[in-house]
Amino acid sequence: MHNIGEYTYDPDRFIFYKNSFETEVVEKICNHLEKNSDYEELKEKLENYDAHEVNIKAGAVSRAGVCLTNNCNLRCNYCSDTSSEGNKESLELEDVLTFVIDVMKRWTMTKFITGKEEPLSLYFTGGGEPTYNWSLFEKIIPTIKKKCKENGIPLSLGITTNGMLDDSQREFIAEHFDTIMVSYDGLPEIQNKNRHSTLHSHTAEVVEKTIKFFSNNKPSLTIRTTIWQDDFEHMKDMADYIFDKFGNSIEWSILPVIPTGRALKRIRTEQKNLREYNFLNFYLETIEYIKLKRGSLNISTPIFPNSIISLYCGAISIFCSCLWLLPNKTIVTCIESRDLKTTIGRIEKNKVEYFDKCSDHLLRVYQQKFSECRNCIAYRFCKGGCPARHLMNKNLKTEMDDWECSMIQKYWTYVFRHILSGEKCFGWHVVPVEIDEIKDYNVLKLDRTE
Amino acid sequence: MKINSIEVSIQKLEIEQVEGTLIMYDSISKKIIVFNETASFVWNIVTESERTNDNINTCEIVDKISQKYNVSEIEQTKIRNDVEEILKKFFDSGLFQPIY
Repeated sequence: MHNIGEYTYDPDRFIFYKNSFETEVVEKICNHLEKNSDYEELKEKLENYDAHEVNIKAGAVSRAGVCLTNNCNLRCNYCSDTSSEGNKESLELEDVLTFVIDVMKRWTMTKFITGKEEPLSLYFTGGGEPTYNWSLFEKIIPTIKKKCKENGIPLSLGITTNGMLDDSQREFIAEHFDTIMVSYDGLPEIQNKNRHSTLHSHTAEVVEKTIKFFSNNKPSLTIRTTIWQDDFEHMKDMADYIFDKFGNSIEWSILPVIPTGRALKRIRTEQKNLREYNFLNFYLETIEYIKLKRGSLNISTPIFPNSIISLYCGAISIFCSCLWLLPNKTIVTCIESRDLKTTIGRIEKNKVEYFDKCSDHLLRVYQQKFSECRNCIAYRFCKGGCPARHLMNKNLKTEMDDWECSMIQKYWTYVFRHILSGEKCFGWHVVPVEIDEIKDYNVLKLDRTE
Repeated sequence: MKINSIEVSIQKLEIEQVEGTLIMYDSISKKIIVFNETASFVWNIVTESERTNDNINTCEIVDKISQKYNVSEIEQTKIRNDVEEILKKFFDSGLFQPIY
């Protein structure tokens, strides 16, 4: 139970009742409202697995991703993959096609199981820049589309790109892709400082041209801004610049720099200042500022998951919901987990081979966090958070984990305070519980509208 | 229809074909069955025979596969073994049910 002003929050029932209630009243309320059982169900499942030796059952999926290369034409100062050029490992057309055909079969299983025919979602991202080897990229995309069409499988293509594209490349991507994310760091001077080319030349002009093109030609466009702690204070300026320049229909996604790759050294040096660089406050102020100035716009951050979830991580092998093909031809369950990937198979002589067993570091952390975090105010919304980030922070001895956790807790305290004062906050609000026996106690239930 | 002179009924399942692989779903047992290329080919031959109300046997199936892939006599022996194995699996898994 958690106190929010004059209320107590019961995370097992998603309700708020007055702190002043006697124990008998609380018991009466609880007896009339069913307890959410997903924790116990999932706990039992998780406890049955030995993370050091998990039997692999590659089953139905509806999403997959391809990381074509680790090569990149930019040298972003926080790149988590430390991408550069000259990496020998790179996928060929045949590798990608073999993988996609396997995924098409698994998508068909999903269709049978769910009875729904949602498009197969295929995402291209890094590692490096997916468009780095353009001649390969422009061969692969139409081939995949043709293959799916021949087999009657609806396809949705997505990409994250650094935006260093020419006109014909922009046209190609706009023609073939359904969702596009372009990395752009909010303001030209910050973009040029963070996301420069090999020779430190500026990139803002070309990337802005790319975003402009997509914003005019593609309905689903997200700008991803990765932000260093000492640039949090520029968030409002970034918001104004982005929405003025590219229009109000784009989505703006903000992510604080995470401590891997090129970012690690600086994060280690500066981590004592992390609490001063309060991302949450700057983020909330920016949202408030934009709301007052322009009405409600699409701004988000992956740091604060914004829904009630039964499972946070689909990347642990036992719940794998998305397969990723990497440049070294291995198949893994998560693209973000860097050196801690759970490898479940590989492409060998144009065949997909899944291993019988794997060791799953992510599952081990998830099992641990799942119990540890049970009593946290944010637990129902983050279920212990991203196991890959936890593991990286622990192994690299950074304080990012504590920083992120405390922000998420503050975020939910903020949301609860606002909704209990009658406001709507990030889609959340409270509704009165309409059960006759407890109606007089004015119990409030957490609810959300998109 | 008869397979190798045995009167059989073929279980009706939801079926999709992806790149030559048959994927079947039994909505009652919630089981998914994925056939390899040869098994998919055998299944197609048998169900086509059922559709045209013809009987079929192992030799005829082997002949059809040999014609399609233009295989040698030595390879035919291996194919025959595979087909026998596949038909056995179809019977064992209940996809083909003998009618007595």
